[in-house]
Amino acid sequence: MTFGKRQPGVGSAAQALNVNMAAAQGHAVTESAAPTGHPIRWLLILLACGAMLYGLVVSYGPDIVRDHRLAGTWQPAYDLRAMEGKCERRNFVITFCSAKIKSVANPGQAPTSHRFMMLFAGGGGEALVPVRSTADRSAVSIFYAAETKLWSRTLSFISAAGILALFSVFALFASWRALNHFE
Amino acid sequence: MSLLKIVAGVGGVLLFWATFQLPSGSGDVASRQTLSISEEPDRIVLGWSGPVQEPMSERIAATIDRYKADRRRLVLILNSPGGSIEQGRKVVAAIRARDRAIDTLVQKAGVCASMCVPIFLAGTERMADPEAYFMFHQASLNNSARENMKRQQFSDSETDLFSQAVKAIETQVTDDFFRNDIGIRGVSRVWLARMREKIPGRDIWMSGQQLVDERSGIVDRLIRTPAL
Repeated sequence: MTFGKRQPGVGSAAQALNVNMAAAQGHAVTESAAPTGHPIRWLLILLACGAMLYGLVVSYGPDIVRDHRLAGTWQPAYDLRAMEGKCERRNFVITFCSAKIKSVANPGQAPTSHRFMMLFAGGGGEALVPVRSTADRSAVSIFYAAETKLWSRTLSFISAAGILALFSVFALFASWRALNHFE
Repeated sequence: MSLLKIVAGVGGVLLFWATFQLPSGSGDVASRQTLSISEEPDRIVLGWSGPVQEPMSERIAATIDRYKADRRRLVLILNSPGGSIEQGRKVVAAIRARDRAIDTLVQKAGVCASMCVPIFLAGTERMADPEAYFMFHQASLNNSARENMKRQQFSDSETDLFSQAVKAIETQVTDDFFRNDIGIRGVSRVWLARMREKIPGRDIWMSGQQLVDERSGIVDRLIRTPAL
């Protein structure tokens, strides 16, 4: 194969692809208003988006609300130790972090797990300092999550929830229209 | 014009990205010293959180002096992992030198460990939440001194000798610490002797409730502490 010379096989494949695309475009033009797909498919997408949104809100929402309420009241909890801290960065965009907090004053007490999610920041190499609020002594967190990355977590949460909510609304709308056009 | 927009857009995105990549410095929190002041109608609450290190004595002394003419009761809330014996003694001296009642308090889930205990004991009335934590352990050379020693090239016999010398010094300093810094007003000598036997090689954590139950004399009064 020579660089710059069109090969018949490749050309025909490309052509065929172009033809199909043109056909698809034509189809889209003629039926632009009607959503494609079975209503059940849209309902399943709606359910999946709703479940993901619910999971996101339940998993991360209460901690973010609490951390905003207690912002500025955190102080080091010298009776606690953070362990097994790790952050997993996915596609350089979203990072999921988790750590366990164990009491050194009560070694028999089961460790508590803390998880948080943020966009863009990697979280690598950050010190895990357990903190407790002076306003609510039962509230325990990791300083990096509760104070340093609070706004990053909040924006990440709002962005992720917003996208999922948008998908959910779109899926709801599409399933409604598909149901109306379903014969 | 459009090129300028593209450059500005890319620059903005990169700047946005870069702000998230900066190191946070959140690791310094554990060694950060904070002294909060809250004025209430009947008392002035000083909240100390952080290690017993310079300039703790200066900050505490200056704050107490600030309220020299104020007749309200002073309460010092402690949350500290301990620190330098020398600095702790200076804090105790600063509290005792002031001719006024200064109460000490360890809140629920607050910690008063190691050299913080003598500071707590310097209070006129020593109060703690039943779920406050106190920690007792043997005095030790600080980390920088240990690191300096490690860097030296010693033979095995010299290392043994050195370890024995360090142990002897630590034992002597701990005895002295228990006798002069903890074994003061109202603290049970029997309880203190038992504690001294328990601590070699380990940290002993006790709650405010346990200290009262064992009649240690460390805590004068247990109080349930709501958030302050």
